[in-house]
Order: sequence, then C-alpha cells, then structure tokens
Amino acid sequence: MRLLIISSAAIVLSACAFSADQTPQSLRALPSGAYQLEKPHASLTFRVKHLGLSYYTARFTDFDATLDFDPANPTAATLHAIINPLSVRTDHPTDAEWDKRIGEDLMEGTEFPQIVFDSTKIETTGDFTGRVTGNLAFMGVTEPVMLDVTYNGGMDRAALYQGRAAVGFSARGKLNRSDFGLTRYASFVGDEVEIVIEAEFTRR
Amino acid sequence: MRSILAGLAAVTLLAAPAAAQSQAPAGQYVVDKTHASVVWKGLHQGLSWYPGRFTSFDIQLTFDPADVAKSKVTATIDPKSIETDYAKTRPAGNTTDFNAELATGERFFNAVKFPQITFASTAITKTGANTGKMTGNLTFLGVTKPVTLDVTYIGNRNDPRTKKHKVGFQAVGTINKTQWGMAAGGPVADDIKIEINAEMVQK
Repeated sequence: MRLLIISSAAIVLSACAFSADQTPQSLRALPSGAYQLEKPHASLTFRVKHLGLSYYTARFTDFDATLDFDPANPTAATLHAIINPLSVRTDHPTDAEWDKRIGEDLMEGTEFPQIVFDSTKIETTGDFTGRVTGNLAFMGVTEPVMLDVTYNGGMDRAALYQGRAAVGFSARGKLNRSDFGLTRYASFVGDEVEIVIEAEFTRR
Repeated sequence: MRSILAGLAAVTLLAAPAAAQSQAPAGQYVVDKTHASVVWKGLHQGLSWYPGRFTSFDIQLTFDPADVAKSKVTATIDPKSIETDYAKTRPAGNTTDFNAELATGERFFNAVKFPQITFASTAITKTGANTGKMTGNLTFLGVTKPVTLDVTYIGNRNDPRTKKHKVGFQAVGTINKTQWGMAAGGPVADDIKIEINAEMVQK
C-alpha cells in the first residue's frame, strides 16, 4: 500500500515536473512498432564550405521517413527516408531561380527525383546515442553513409500528437558529394557536405 | 628547368591562400546576403531542435585584423522575415500561417510593435588563432540584453572579379528568450540556439 502511494506520488510529481525542456530521455514505456515522421517537426539541413569562407547552409523541405523502432532493442531498428531533391531551399535574397539551380541543375532532381536512405546497421554508442549506417542513393549512385544520432527523448502519450507515442532525434553526418558523382563547382564549393537532421516521429 | 618551373608554380599556388589569409585589410565590410544565414533553434517538447531562420537581415563589420578587439559588428534583423517552412510541411488542409504567427504574435516577436531586432558588439576578444568571443547588446521586444557569441574566422579571399576582399565567419551562441520578455511555457524551451554563417565583403 505504502509503495503504491509512493509510486503514485512519484507519478504525480514527475507529471508536474514535466515541461517542454524536461521530456524524459528514457526509452521506458514507449511502444515498439512503426513510427512515422512528423513533417512539421522535422528538418534536414546541409552545409558546404563556400570559397573557404563560410558554411553555406541550405535545406530540403520535402522529405518523409519511417522508423521501425523497438525501445527494448534499438539496434534492431530500421529507418527508411525519401527526400525530394527539388525541395532545396536557400532563401536567396534576389534570385528566384537559385533553389531550382541547386535542386534541378546541380542535383539533377528531374532525372533523379528521389534521394533514398535505407539503414543497414544501427549501433549504440551510449545510453542515448548511436550510429546509423545506411545506403544513400543519390543521383543514381548508392554509397554507405553514417549518421551519429542522439535520442533526445520520448513520450508514451504526446498531447500534441493526439496521444500517440512520440520520439525525437538529432542526427549529424558527413558525406563527400564526389562519391555520388556530384563534382561540379569543386573550385569554390567544398566536397564535404555536412548533414544536420532534427526529427520527431509518432507511432502510427 | 621544367621541374623548377613546376616547383615554382606549386609554391606559388600553395603560398597564395596563405598570403590571402594574412592580407584581409582593415576597414568596412558588409554582409554578402547571398552567402549568409541567420538560424535559430528551440528544443521542441524536449524531442527535437526546431529550426527557423530570418531571411532579411543586414550585418556591418568594422574589421581590424591586426587587433580584432578593435573590430565592431552591428546587425539588424527583420523579425517579419521569419521562415519555418511550415507552409511546406504542414498537414494537408491546414492553412495556418505559422511564420506570421511567430513574427507578429504577441507571445513571440510581436513585430508590428517591435519591427526590428538589433545587435551591436561591445567587446570582441580573441581566444585562439581563428576563434574569438563577441559580446554585444541584442535588442528585441524592446528589451536590450548582452549576449556572447563564439565566433570562428573561417577565411578570407580577394575576389578576382570585384578586387574586393571577403572574410567569412561563423558565430554561435545561446540566449534565454524569456530574458527579453518572450513568453515562457509552450512547447518550445526557453534556451534558443543561434547560428550565423556569413561572408562579409569589403565596402
């Protein structure tokens, strides 16, 4: 009885303490199964060095991902993502065609309309960190890419998502665009592309 | 002879960027808006770092490479230029203008009443060969508070077409939005990360 009261109190306390910046970084109580990307709460940013002067920052605005996730066995998870290369956005201040030049001319997005990532191996590197290796298909070339992933937290019932379970991740990775045959403008745009991903998923 | 020439060419090529590195002249620089970004990120529900950006801004630099402490930076940002990509990521049928809500909402940037965000550096200190700390006054929502950004000097280059020098930087920092009077609570945590990448061109 006493235990029950204490644990009830603990639940109440943790519920009270629960706020935006205190989502438990815990894998307990999350259901396993298929999770779907919450697009308004996901971003896919990339950076390339320009002229050795700055990290030019751009993003894709149209992409989707599914995650098969068992919190009890995170290394068994699988991730599948599709990116529309024509959805590049840079906020160029004057040239309305600039995004098109990157997505259509440079990434040849009309000929290769999907960038696809499929995980092949997931390792854990800490309690809430891991490394996702997968095949990235881009411009007709498939090469392995690694992402360092942090599990930020989860909610077994997220009010924002109509009570569905939600999980959130940050991920970073690097690739050489020349590995995918994208060698144009090598004299002023760096070969290394840094990828920064923020993503929330909810259970379907 | 041939190999000497080749060797000379190689030396010249190698020396060129190094020389450029030491030759960024002192003077007035202004941001190259085609190679600059002002991004912020807030922790959403403790789950992910939600990014947004301002697409309309101006940055001025008085650069003194011999004594960076004498350099000065001022910036203005139009809060109405906030871009979250929500119009491209919102669910079908949802017509919410989330950019406008963040820009003009009273809980957020209240940009009708406070149409400009400004920054003016007050102290710049060197912390390493290419790194420094820049403290300055950041004003938004009518409140002025100091912030400190970690700055990395990426490089400099003389543009062969314009004959003007460019210098490139990255600046990152964190501010607590509530110190400027922005509403606490809601799904986004108080600490907001800022990341600025900018090329500055000689005036």
